[in-house]
Amino acid sequence: MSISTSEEIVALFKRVAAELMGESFDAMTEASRIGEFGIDSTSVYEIVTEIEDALDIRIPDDILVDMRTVGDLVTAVQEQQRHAAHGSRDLGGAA
Amino acid sequence: MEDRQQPGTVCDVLLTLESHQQHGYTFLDHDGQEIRHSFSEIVAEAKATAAALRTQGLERGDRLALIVPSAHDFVVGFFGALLAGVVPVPLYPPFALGRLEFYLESTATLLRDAGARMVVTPRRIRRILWPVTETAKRLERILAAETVIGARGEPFVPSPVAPEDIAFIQFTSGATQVSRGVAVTHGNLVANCRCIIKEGLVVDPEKDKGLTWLPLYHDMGLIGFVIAPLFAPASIVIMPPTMFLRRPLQWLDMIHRHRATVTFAPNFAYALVTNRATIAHVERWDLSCLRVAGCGAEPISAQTLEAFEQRFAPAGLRKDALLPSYGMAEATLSISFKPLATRWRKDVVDGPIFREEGRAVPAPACAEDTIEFVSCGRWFRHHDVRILDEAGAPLPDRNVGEIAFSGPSVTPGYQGSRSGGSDTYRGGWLHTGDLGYVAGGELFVSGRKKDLIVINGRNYLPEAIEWAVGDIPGVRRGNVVAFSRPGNRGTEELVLACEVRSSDHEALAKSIAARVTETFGLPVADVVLLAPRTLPKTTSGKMQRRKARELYIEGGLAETGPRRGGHDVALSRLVALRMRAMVSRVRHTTRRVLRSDELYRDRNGNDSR
Repeated sequence: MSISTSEEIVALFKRVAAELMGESFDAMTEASRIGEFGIDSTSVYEIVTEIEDALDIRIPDDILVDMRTVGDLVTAVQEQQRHAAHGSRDLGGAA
Repeated sequence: MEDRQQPGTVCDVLLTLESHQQHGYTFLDHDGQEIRHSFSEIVAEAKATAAALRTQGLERGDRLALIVPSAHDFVVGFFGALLAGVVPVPLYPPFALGRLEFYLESTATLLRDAGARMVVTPRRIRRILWPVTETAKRLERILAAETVIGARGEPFVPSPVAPEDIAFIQFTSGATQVSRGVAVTHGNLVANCRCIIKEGLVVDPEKDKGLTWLPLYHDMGLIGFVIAPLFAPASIVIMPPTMFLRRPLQWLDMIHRHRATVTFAPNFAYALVTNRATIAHVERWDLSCLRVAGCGAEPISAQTLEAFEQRFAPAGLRKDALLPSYGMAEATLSISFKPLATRWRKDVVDGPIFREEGRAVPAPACAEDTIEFVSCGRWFRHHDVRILDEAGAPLPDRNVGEIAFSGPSVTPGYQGSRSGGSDTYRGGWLHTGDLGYVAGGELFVSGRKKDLIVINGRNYLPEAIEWAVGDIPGVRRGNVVAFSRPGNRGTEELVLACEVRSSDHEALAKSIAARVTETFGLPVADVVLLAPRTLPKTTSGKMQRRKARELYIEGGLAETGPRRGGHDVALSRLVALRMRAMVSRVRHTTRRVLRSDELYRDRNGNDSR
């Protein structure tokens, strides 16, 4: 599994958030605080879950607790992708 | 007569289930795993836990806080404490995104209030929780859940527990005040759980199965789906709350898969799944098993119920399934339920008569200015509801006043230093602080007493104003607060504080004021536009109107001065490490971490028309 770039993850976040919440998040950058854009904590869980599904990873709830910015999410996603890459090699590779 | 054979405490009930294999709890996790524990297994683990807690030095009556995200461990820890005669105090685990400092601050306050001697929590939470040991005075130790919950070894010695003993401390989510610890006795629990199971739901253990995603640290999840089922005894499926938050539709999917017959949730959850479900989802599900879809814990909107019914009718949702209810932690949990086997109903009343005379008179079909209230059903037997006027005298049907409740479910009172001066418990009646009326033996809740906006002698419900503004584009629905401020001529005037997304603040403030004026004929003295997540909310996400009003009057709700976000972020993180500095100022500091252009205050007065 390849590691997504931060641009890709931010773009995915914007797209998923826009679909779920029915409005545009064009101004969002990696440095944006998630709460600034009117995304409450319940919606963040939904958005993160959609991103997980799209990238076939899973971010533990514990890590979500500490997430403030879009950049924090980028870091968490890349970390899980690295884990997944190692994990799948160990298991002989999953599709 | 019948009562003589009934158990007097929850401990009695637990011990009667010692060899009960047939029913129990099924705990779901995110990976789709389901682990079932019969009541027999749970009681065995709880007994071991009780012994372990005594070994740790906890004595009868000691307060033990539980911060335990695992539902299984929470249930075992809670029942273990009860069996040891120790008083559990469920607290919420760290949960909200990026708000660790708030969490530590409020947890320390709750621990102090409850007089907790020890905390049980998993090691991974204990690592971040240590700062509270400095500020929570009575707290001696933080126990690792791994070492006490379900621990093996020590023999269990039953502790004498009486019906009048305090069973546990339930912190309220109290939308209009800071959270308070309610002392709930064993007698309260036995009375209320029997009402819920035998009278309200008429549970048939052979056929019924409950399902919940509600957090177990709040009364609706804990009493409704952990304690009350023991009284049937009936099986329960417990989902982690984050499973619902991540994929709201899993709630209905699990009802379908487990053939659940009873579930409960607040109004917002019904609105959310109605919004998220597509026709494909609805076609996939058979929800005809669902006998009771209970709704409570926050104001119930007829619109939400209607939309939910309509959306899920093709999946076989029964017409009589939605069950509006009323209750509160001070009443243990439940006060009234919609009667089974009838459809929920709404009362459409005349707007002007309601506002001017405080009477809920059915509106003629052609009336334009009307208000809808959802019936919360009938109160339980051996309990009483009265509607009281300002002087405390009972009012006749269809007159709006404060709802008062009496009976064996009424708890003895609040715990802790912040409970002083409360007039909630008076003369054997629980004065709920909620406004409502009774019509035909059914209870209708119309708002909060203290939040009522009175302008020129007319009463306005803040909820109604907030709902009217909530669907203006750019306004964050559900994040609007309406309250009054003292005006120049000795009258109150209306203020609206709204969290917004739009950048055109001036136009937005104008359309908000215009909407209120058009709908209620009421001038708006001030519209405060705020960045998201700046209005004060309770732990369960309810708006704190009174707190917002206080902040506004102190000038703390919307300051327009320049703000340096980076500095404030650094400051708030620093403060998180230094718990001693965590006084109320911190909350304000962190709330003010905003982009300066997000924060607006626009004066938009009477001329908005």
